[in-house]
Amino acid sequence: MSKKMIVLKSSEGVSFVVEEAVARQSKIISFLVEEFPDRELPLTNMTSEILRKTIEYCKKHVVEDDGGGDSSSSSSGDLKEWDVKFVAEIDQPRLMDLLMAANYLDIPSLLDVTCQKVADTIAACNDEKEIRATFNIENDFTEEEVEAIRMENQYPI
Amino acid sequence: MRDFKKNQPWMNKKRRRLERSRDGKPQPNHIPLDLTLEILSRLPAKSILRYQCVSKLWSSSMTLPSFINSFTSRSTSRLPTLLVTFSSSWGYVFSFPQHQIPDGSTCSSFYSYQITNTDCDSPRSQSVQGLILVPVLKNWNPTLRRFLALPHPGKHMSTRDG
Repeated sequence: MSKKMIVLKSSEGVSFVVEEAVARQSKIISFLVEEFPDRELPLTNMTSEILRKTIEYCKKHVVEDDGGGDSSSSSSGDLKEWDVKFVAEIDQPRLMDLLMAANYLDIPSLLDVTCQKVADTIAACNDEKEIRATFNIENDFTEEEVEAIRMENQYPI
Repeated sequence: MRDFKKNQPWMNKKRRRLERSRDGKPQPNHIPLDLTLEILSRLPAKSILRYQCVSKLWSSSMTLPSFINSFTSRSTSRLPTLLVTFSSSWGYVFSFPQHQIPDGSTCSSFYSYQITNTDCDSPRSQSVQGLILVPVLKNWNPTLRRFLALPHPGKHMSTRDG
């Protein structure tokens, strides 16, 4: 029996044919597939590159319920390792796009790994100036306010 | 379906960013507003205060009760064990990863910290959500590693239960 396929279309109009089980890891797509069966789903806010990455993640994480011994079923330890490698290879702008894609498509596990990666990036910054520069955050504090927070929060070593 | 997509707030943000990056210089990316809390709650606990100086949004996010709750539950899932000892003039706090406890031989702690200015003998209460109340109305917060002096209750408070 052939698997049911669905078509996802990126912002550039590129069509991706994906197994339904793979795409259904997105709660939004899962919902849309039921509401609009046999229709291709336009994802006009996702570039082909990000959509390809998202599908790559979903393919790796799909749970094979027919026990077909597919290469996509992996042990959880391997999966964790794969996830770490997956986000490590992505540069920051794309990571943020992927994070938003995971949020938009509602893929909890992808949202989790991308959020963790961003948190790790923040934690690796030396001070608040580096954090602001990395994430383009405007410093809306006055010198006095920063000083007040420091005074309030001084803690040893 | 089209309407559904239009209502996604981050689309506008993304569009702005794409426009900026067209002049060849890719700009650093914003953290989406609705994911700020999600990301901040994953930061390491011991340096959480450092991040309060980043922006007013971050600072206010980190003091939200919902943030503190999500942070506590996330920290709890990491299962550290806390040990607090007091003598007449000093106190020590240690935190151990739980899986090392049964062994009992060599434990390396997550952190250990000497509490100064305790002015007290020993804590007389259980920990509540990680906070330990010590006499003279001070609260020891192991996550933030500091005391919080509580306001002295006025007489009117004693009648509240009745």
